[in-house]
Amino acid sequence: MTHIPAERMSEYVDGVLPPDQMTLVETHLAECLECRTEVTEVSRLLSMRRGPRRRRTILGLSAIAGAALVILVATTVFNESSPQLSPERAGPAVEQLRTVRIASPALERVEDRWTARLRWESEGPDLTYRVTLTDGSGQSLWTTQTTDTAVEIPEAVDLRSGGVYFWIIDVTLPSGEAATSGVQQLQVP
Amino acid sequence: MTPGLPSELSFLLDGAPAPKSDQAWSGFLDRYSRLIIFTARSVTHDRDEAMDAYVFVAEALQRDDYRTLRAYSADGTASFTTWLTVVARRLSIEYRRKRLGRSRGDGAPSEKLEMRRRLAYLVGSEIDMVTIPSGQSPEHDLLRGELVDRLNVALDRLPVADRLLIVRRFEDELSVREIANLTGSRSVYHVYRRLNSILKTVREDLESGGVEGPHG
Repeated sequence: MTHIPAERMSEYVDGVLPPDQMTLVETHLAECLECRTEVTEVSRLLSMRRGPRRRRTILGLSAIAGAALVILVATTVFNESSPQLSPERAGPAVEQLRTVRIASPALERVEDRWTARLRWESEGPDLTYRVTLTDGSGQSLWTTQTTDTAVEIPEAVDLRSGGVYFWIIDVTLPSGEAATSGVQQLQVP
Repeated sequence: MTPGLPSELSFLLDGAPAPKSDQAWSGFLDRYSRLIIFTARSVTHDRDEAMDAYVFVAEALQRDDYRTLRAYSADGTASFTTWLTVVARRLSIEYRRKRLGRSRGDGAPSEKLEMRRRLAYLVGSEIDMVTIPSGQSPEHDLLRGELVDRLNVALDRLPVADRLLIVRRFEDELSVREIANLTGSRSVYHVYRRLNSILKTVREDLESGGVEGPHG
């Protein structure tokens, strides 16, 4: 198999590939594991060499409201697991990041409604965690703060069958460092 | 000096005679050795082997009056750093293969067929269509084969960008965040929404072809 030439590959990684080349390159990538691996690895290497990007840390409701949500964290690792989709491995350490490790949510059908208990691992004593739940478009549905490492989504939040929701745990550590679970997806059967 | 090229590269390729050419090569290595070693290390995972790979890469770049480096076009839009990372990585892999031999999984037709089947299985289970029956009876094998064929047809009908997203997610098992970074998506939400939309399209394609869901 003929692989993508170095110049085309570089343009693709830099996001500057001419439009007339994009379909050709993507068609090859869809069939070639070696080239896809190269794209992933080169992107990762370039990100690591650039070092941590200075991005705003946005926590809580203001960060998640609205359909065009972008969560930017200054020093956090996203460990994204997806109950709906297959369990995934953690992404590469693009920056120096701290993760709140989550446990799979416990979903249960009680009478005619779904309940969900969100759980995560403790990051230390005497910490206050902010929990935010949004709908599939990123619109905030509910937020709370707790010193516990588990919360139950209240009855007032109507979890619909087949619905897709997102949740995130944020905490500020005594050192001033931020930690986050990253965006987690909650799929209701 | 050639406009558009990094200065160290431009001096090197301008063809000055020794000792200026030696100085230009030293200057180039001063600037880019770390990048090359960093890239080699990502391939070899061993410090000593990475240094050997670095020497291999440097020699390859210098060979035939810097023929490989002259292939970088200042008219191109990719940055030289990105281009050099790609080239250094490929040369490091070439070095490794020469030392250790070619690894399995290099795209033999039977492996590609197996990968297509595996992708179809993963997508099929994700969209919760008819459970591929387990067991070894010929009837089960036939049913399984038919479903895989239909899934592959549905996946082949997707626009190439959508198919690539599915492959990255299910075959390469990249996280949504990694995919968002690779594709320049605004956020992970956009990737999730796009994935869900694609899976819905595949499901509808199958249903229109008579494949039933679990409640159908």
